[in-house]
Amino acid sequence: MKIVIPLFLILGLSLIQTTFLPINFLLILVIVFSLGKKAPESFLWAFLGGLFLDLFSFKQFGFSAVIFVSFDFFLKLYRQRFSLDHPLMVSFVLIVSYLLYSWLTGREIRVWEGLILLFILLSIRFLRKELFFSSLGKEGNRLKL
Amino acid sequence: MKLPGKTIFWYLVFLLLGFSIIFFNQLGWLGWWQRLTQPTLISLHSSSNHLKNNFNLFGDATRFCSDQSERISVLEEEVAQLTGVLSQLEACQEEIKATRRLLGAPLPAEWQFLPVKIFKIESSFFIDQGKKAGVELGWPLIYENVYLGKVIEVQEQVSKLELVSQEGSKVSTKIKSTEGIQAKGILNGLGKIQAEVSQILAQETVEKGDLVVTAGDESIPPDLALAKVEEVIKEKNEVYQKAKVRLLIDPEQLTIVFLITER
Repeated sequence: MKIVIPLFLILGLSLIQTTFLPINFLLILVIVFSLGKKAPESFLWAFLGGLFLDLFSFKQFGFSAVIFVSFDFFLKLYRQRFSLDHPLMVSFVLIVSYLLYSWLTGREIRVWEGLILLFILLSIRFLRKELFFSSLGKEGNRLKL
Repeated sequence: MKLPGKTIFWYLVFLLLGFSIIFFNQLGWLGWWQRLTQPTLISLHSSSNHLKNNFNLFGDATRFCSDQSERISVLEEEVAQLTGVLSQLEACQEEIKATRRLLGAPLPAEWQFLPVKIFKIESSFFIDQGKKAGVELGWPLIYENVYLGKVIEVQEQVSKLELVSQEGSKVSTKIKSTEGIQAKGILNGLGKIQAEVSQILAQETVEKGDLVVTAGDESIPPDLALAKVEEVIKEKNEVYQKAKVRLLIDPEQLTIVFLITER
């Protein structure tokens, strides 16, 4: 189940994203997995998500995979220094990732899409606070990787 | 601000794996994979595009909510079979209709065409033919005598398009007035069916209702229809004037279009 659920989630979301709803759900998934899972597991899911997305959208095969894995890495690096406790920091991470991904892949930047992604991520933050709130007191906000 | 060595190691492993895939794909070593997956994905995207254009929420909801009985399931099976046949017939009919329109269009007799299916994924447009059908970069895409765009990327069984309607696309054009005057300009796509023709010399006469056609270059044939002028924006002491135009065809509504293979 540990493998099946994320796999189906990635497969389903990349299908929905490329067929019916052109919203970058996989970006949210990469951010959430990056916060909730340790390396190399989070890298694996980011990589697979990118590959499925490239496959379904006929993009340069492997390109999104490289971008998603890099996002995951830099998010882990970012969490070493900064906290994601505040909704503004979560929003900042999402907006930067969304703009960067759109710019790198030549994807259209849509305000409504960004707002929907922000709403989803903030909802996840309120439902799964433990993913965003670091529990390391004195050490600051470092995440145990 | 240092990450554990294990994280850095795995990041480099996945990065290397990703770049290897890109490299092998560039060399064409993953052609077999594209040949294997693309036909299924093309039909998936064509069906989803078709569904999106004919979405019926009420019909779908009642279908899911209706009681299941043996009689209904037998009938549904028959209906499903017939729908399959019908959709095949519809596809043929659509192709015949589009071909008839093309035959009726005022285009040179020596031009050769390849009928292709067009579909949209996120904000990009694709056609269901690629290297296998001999598609080449820059081939123009038309519907009747209306220029839609050109091929900018060719894969095994699909090709990516740059349409006139897409944001950032530029096509050199002529604006034909009813009196036969031809002004030159550049058509810039703005997304959807609105566009703008810029760099029209201020002394040229452009009016609402004038027809915008392609000026022609290496890859785009001349005199293919593009749009109609809706509004002319002229400012004092400016060298150039602009025109807001409406494209003649919305590519999102099309299923069968034609590539010009020889001219």
